[in-house]
Amino acid sequence: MITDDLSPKPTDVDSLRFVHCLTSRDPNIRNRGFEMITRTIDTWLGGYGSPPGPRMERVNGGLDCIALVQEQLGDLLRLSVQCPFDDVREKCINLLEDLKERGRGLKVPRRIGDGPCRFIPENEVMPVNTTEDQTQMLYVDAFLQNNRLDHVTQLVGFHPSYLECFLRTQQFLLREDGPLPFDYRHFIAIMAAGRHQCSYLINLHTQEFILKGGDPAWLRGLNFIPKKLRDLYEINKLLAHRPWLITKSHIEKLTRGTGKDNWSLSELMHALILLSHFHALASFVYGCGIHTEIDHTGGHSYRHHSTSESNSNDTDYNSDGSSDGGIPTDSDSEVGIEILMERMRKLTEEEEETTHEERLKRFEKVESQSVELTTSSKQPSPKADILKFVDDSEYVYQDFAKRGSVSEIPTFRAQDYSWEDHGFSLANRLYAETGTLLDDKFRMAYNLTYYTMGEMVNVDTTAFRRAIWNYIHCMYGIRHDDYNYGEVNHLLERSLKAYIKTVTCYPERLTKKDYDNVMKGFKHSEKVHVNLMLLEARMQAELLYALRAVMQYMT
Amino acid sequence: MKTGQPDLLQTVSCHTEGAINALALSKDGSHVVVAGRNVFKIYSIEDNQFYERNNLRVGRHLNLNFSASDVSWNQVEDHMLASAATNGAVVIWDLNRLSKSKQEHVFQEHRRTVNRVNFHETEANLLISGSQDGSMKLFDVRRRAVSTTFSSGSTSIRDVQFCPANLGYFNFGAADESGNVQLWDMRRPDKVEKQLTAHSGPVFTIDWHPDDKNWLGTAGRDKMIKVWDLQKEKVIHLVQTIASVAQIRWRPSRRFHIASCSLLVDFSINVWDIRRPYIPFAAFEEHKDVATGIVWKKDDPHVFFSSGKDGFLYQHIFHDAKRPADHTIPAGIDMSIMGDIAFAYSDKPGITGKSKSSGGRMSLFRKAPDRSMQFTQVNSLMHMFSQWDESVSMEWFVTSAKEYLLKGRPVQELCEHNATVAEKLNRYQVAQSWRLLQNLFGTTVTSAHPPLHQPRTVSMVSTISERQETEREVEHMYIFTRNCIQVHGRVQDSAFQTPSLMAFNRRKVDELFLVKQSAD
Repeated sequence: MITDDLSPKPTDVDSLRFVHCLTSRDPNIRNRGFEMITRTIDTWLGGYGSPPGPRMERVNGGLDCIALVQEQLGDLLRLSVQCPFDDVREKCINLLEDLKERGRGLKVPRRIGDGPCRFIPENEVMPVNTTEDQTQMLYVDAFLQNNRLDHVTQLVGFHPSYLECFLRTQQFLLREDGPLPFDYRHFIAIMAAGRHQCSYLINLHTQEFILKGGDPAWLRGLNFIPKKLRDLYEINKLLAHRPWLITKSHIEKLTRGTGKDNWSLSELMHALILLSHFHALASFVYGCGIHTEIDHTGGHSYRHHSTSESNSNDTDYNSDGSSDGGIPTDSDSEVGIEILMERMRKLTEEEEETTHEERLKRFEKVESQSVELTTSSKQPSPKADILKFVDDSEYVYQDFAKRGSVSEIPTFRAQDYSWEDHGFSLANRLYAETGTLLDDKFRMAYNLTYYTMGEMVNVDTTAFRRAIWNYIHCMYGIRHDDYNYGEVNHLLERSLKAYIKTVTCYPERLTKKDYDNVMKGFKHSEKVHVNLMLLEARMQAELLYALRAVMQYMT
Repeated sequence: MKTGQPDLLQTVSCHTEGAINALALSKDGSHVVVAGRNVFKIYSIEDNQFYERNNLRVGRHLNLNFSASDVSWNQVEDHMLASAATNGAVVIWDLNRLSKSKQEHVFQEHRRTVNRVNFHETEANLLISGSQDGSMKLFDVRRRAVSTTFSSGSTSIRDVQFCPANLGYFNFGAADESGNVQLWDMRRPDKVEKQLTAHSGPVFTIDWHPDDKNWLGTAGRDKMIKVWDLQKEKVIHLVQTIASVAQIRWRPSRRFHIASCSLLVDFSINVWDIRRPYIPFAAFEEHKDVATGIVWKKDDPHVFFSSGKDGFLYQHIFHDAKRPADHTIPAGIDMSIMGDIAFAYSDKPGITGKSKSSGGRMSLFRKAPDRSMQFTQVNSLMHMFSQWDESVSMEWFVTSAKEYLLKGRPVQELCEHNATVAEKLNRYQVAQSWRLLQNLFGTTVTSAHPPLHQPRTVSMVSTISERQETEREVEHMYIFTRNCIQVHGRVQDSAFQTPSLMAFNRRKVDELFLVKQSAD
């Protein structure tokens, strides 16, 4: 992964763990930890107890001590910004200042970008030392769990009650008792994120993978991983883009082989949940324009500040300027919140009688009509260090309506296989507790509301939220019998539909302009809210197909 | 009771060409209706055979109103049916209609899927429905209007059942998705009479006991079947099944028997004796996919009908049931965390009831209570073995954890102390490791390089404002860490970085030193 000579990538466990001694709730322990860090750095830089000699860098067993320190600077820079503890941030800032003064050939990095995401100004995001107690508590929890307060967590801090579910679930999936070994879990996350070339998640989990004692050879790419993991790739691909193609034979292929490469159903369940979680999370990362973590390549720079670099280094994203073809440019025709509210009110008032045929037609219409951002066909060209985790990168979402033979793959009836009744039980059965955790998370995302819309208060947003949720399911061919799909067209503007579809299906194509152009008048926190719904609805849709296939296989 | 010619009845089935969601029986038990997404048919039962009598799924516009999630047969006027549709409609069917289509009326009152419809047992015109939208509606079928709406807020209603008319004419119970069971009086739509937090997760099904008005069975996604005493609002019986429970139905004339089927994975229909909750009293394993509905023949404990996602409609005869208890080996073994092993077995091996289950059907049923007695009669013996062998017991771990000292004394003393503890537990290698650690500190600090370390120690301590015991340890640890760096080029493990972290990792310390020892 070394792309920039200036920022050596810490690739061994000790180095990665160097700053983990700060991960504690107890300020005394943090204090001591920091003493340790300072002293070790002192030793590395200054030799032992004597004034630094001219060639002292090479004492201590011939190690390049400067390099050892250099490796840590990214982490320290991150901690100086992204840490819920004031003392740690302050000390890190001072230490970095100190190191800069000492010189000694150290290149002290500088942060690129401002705030956790590109789309929202830093001062509008919940700060890391927010005074909102619940959020702050969760930030601390997240920091203790992950040894970092990552940008996703910080951004979701808008919605603490959801964040709590999210963190609990992710922690459970990645770090608590489960069927899969820890290195597998993180590698699966990398594989999943690779489907959308999401380098943010890939970086994050590459690091975790190493920390969990994963075999560094695997990181060379899909051709270097065990056959068992390799076998999972087909399902990863389908699940990410066309989950309706998953059948019980896919499950069978994985579970019914012979020998050590077999998946047990529990392992597979764990893997499926991880895959769908990270596919959907990738949507969120792009949907909100999450910045690269500060300590990762691209999150910091050693060069002096220059204006041109502010965007170009954010390697994940399209550069903004070139995306004129983004969302259909009728953006000025987008209706305001008031009109939207008016429409919702009307919906509840006039229960129009519709025949079945009309409803069916509407479903099909919504399904086939779904618009997407025609991003002037300029797709971001993924880099080699991402592509090594991707197979068949050309394979993308295809409209369910254009799925070919209609009779072979019928629409998925939510009434016949629902998360609440079937998915939940199966998930809990094969991987205890996940069902409950996911259930809480789905429910939280579906029901979350503050009864506001932009500046308006006391708004019943149910219809709007339901329209979003069902529209996403619709794109995946999941139909709710009791929903009138006319509402989708009624409540979701063309531009918003385009945004939703892009974030859900082709998140890597999204640009800041697209984000800015939709949901005008909505607050940033509300836009994040919508993105969270996209995340959960997509995850549920993928899981429904996957779990149904598992059940068909089992029975 | 139709037990006059019981031997003539047989388990029979027929395929209905579509997954069935629900079934209902006519008043006299001669006809059965099955309903699902793509099937809506009436069968008659004659001479151990099902005959298709009516296909209600006819007409030019087969819309979602024909896709039923539940169906109910009017128990007073035998020609009237009601079905709950997935699109939120409640549909009334009249079999006396002359036209081909029997659809009489469609109520479009609910905004979401309707999960249950239920006719009142004695009031022909009363029908109640429960929907995903969180409301229950009482319909006056004759007036074709909703007479009352009951609301549970926004939580979806999964089941709603009238109380048997002779026990509570105006009462009905409802189950919702958040685990509550509500008891309503239909004359009081403004307020729920009683509410029980019955399950964790959705309640899928409730059933009133046919004879005891205080008993209500409930079951749901948490895999539990609970029997409530409504007077005391307490659970009096509890059955833990292996999968989410889709439906439960009390067995007529058998006070303690209840039938259940699962929502997924488990295809059998189990009849439980609630007093013996660990094994089904009887099991019916005919279905090839999950069973979706159970209905007992009126007042007959020996016959019931069931429908399944496999599209089959069954008439089950109790005679043909499997008795899981017959095939169970009455012995068990388990091990406690302390390493004790318990072993239980029947004192009369070989007599497991199999031999006693032969005989005619009537005798079988006379014996039914006997057979449950029989379980208790099997005196099982239990032995407990205490196992103190090192290989099994983890006692050393507990003792070590209790007696190891990690601070409060000079490190050399601590190491010596811990070495003694390990020795006492016969863990000689570990004891050696502690001594090694002791030596490591002893030699470095006192003799090996005194001039190098002494000033350093002083200077470091002086930078720390408070000279406390813990600080000294940090210092020791620091020196040790340095040594590790010198020897191995890197810090071996973050466990060494602070004493507190080291305290968390006692075993890790042991292990790492073992490794180092063997390497040296």
